[in-house]
Amino acid sequence: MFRSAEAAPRRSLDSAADEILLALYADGHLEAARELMQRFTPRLMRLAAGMLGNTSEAEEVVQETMLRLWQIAPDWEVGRAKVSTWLWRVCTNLCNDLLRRRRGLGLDEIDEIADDTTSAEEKMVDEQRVQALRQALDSLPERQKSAVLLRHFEGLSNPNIAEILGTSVEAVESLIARGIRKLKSKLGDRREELGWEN
Amino acid sequence: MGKLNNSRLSDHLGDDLETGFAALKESLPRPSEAMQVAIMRDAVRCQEQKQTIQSARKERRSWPDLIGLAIRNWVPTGILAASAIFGVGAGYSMAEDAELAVTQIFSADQTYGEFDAYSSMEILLQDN
Repeated sequence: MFRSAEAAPRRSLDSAADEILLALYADGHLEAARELMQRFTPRLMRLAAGMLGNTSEAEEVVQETMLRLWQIAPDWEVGRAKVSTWLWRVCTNLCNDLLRRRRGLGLDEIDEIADDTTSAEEKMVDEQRVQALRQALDSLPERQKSAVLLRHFEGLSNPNIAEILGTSVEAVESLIARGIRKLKSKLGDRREELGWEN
Repeated sequence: MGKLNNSRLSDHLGDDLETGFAALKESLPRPSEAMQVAIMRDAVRCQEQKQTIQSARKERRSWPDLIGLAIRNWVPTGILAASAIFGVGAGYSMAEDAELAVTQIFSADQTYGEFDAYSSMEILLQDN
């Protein structure tokens, strides 16, 4: 049966590298899986929800991303890629697949997050502006959106984003610049409504 | 709107974008308890599947793998055995040949010996 938490003390897991945790999980330590989950799911959830604008779809994507990590764990080659980079890549690809499928079904306007995040709403500085930004983000092409969110939500570096999106650093710079320009243009059109004129 | 105004607007929106991103980030949902439970359930299931696959591999080895293993092992063993049998056979044959040769040599020696002895006797008789 699986090794218990005693075999891999929790305190040591907190500081363990992602690759080590994955190796421990592959070796039967479920506590390592729990640590990986706690480490990554909030960030993956943020990225997926930011890209999809839908909580339940975002949860499905995050669960699928983590499932793929569990499946690849026994064959993971240390040094091949960073676990975090691999996770961002899988999550981004799954979101883009879903967005493409959704577009095919004509379901572009899905926006559920504002409805089921009452507690989060209380924290908002300006609900209207947040919604405007969300709508502007949703209008961006998939790769621009991914790059902008990875940069501005996760604070990842351009080389890291390039690795995740499988493109060059220059292409990432261009994606982010175009994305931000488009966001500014979209939001600029609503400046009066959003009170950004003063 | 003039160029300067546009630029000011962009700068202003740049700042607002940053605060907007921060607010949006805060507003996004956190992983639900149900999702975390589901993720851990997946993790357990994957472990179990891995163990099942490993056991199945071991079981599978009992028939086709063992036959394959036997074939793989029997080929060199057979070659070795054949070489040994051939070697023994050749050795036996060589020994037989050698014995025959020795017998023939011995016979020849005897003949030569008799001849030699006869010659020696002849010489002795002549001397006497």
